Amino acid sequence: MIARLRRVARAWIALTSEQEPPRVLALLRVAVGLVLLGSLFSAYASGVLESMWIDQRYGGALELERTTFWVEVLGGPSRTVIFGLFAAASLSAALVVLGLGGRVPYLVAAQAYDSLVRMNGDTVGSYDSMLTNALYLLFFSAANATLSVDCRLRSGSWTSERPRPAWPRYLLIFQLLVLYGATGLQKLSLTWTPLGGYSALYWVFQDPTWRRFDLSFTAFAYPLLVLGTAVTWHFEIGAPLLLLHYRALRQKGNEGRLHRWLVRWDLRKPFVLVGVCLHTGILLLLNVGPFSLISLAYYLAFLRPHELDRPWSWLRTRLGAGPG
Amino acid sequence: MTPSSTSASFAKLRAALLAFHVLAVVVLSLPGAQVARSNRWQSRLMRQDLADWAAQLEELGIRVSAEELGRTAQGIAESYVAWRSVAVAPFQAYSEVTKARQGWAMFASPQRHPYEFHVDGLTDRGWTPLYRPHDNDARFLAGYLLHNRMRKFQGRFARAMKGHYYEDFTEFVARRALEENPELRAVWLGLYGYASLSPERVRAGERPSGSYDNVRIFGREAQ
Repeated sequence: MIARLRRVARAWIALTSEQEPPRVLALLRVAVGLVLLGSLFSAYASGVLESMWIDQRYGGALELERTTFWVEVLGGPSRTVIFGLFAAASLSAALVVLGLGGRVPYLVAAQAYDSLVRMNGDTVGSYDSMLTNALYLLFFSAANATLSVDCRLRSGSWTSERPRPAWPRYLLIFQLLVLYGATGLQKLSLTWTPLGGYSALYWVFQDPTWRRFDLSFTAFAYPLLVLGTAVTWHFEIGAPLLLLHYRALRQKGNEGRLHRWLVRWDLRKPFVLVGVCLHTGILLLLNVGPFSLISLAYYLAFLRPHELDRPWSWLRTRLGAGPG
Repeated sequence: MTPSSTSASFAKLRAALLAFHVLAVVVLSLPGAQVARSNRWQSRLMRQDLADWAAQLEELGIRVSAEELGRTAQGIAESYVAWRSVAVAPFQAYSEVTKARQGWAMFASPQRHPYEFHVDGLTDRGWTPLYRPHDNDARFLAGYLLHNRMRKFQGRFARAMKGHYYEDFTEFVARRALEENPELRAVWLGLYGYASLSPERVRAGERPSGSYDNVRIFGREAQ
């Protein structure tokens, strides 16, 4: 037992010590920063920021039930404080996109954004947690080490190939798989299951709350929605099993049948294909804010740095850094 | 300490902290306190889900009423929440401070009795629709009311209504309508609720019909 625990600990230390060129994390940084900027400006432009996150006493629509830590510290849910946090979050998001300012912008963006959106628990989405989770992991990463202004200022080049810790990328994959597994397990309505005829997507499409346009015509394509529901629910429930594939790839000397099956194909590819189709479908048919975009940003983490060799080489040439 | 031993110690410390993070992600992603909230168990959506489950169990030879099933399930949910609060305690502060939050209940139970928020205005010609979701002839504040965060806010009215938020919200929208439309003498706001139709009924050409709840009227003189 002790020997087994030691083996597991050694493997965990080895895994968390791995290094790789930080190019994937740099792309993820840009994507997360852009989604964050989009989420902030959409709340501002639509009037949500002024009406839902500022208290009635200061011109908002509602007498808010709660406040958040930083809003409280800064003096309460007034226009000045809320717009101040909005400015801080927006500026930090822009710095995250540019890769300027080191780690501080990640911290400020996550804290300011979370403090804003949680002023009203009835306007918060899962995408908000996905954004702040990504910022937290990127804060510890070397996402600014390449394709960034920081890299340019430090080395004179826009890109750097120096290996950096890979664990933030691994944890972003893990976060996405836990998210899918947890949401799948919470789909307790019969309509998601074979017992309810896999009818959930049909009912979602009849609900005006989320659909982009009238989707009642989908009644004429009902078998497709049954298929879509079945694929979605089983995909979510089964997502954490992808970890077995990753584990099997690292196990040497194991020739068992399950191990052979798990390493025979690159199971990432069908997983990513289904996931990208799922989120593209959501993006086209339902208005759930930046949920699909931030999910697709997380999918970048499935890329291994060497899989970007050709586009990266092209990019480096364009930026005058040579093909590397 | 030599550089290599420092580096080995750092690797161990990092591995320990990351193990804590991984554990926190898993534990905090377990469904939260909302599963035991009494207003959730009394909502029409939950009653529909319980009726579905009771019917399904009856087909399997287990006779149980939806109410009885609801009481049992709520009891289990309350015990679970008590257990969860102990399990998440070591990770709660970590999540609060870092904003690395979990909680992923997305479309867990599709709404089959949706509500639409409707706004009408009274002019010299009578009542006229100002806002209907997805109606190009009634698009007052549509950019605002159809924003994804406002959709979520309005969706809550069908699930677990917060009375004071509804009062504040209707007053806010009515005030905007009266300010921006000088010809209006009054504004009418309400929730139009209906049961979504089965695919067979939609294919047969039926349209959902329902009724209005929580109607509020604001006159110009009240402003």
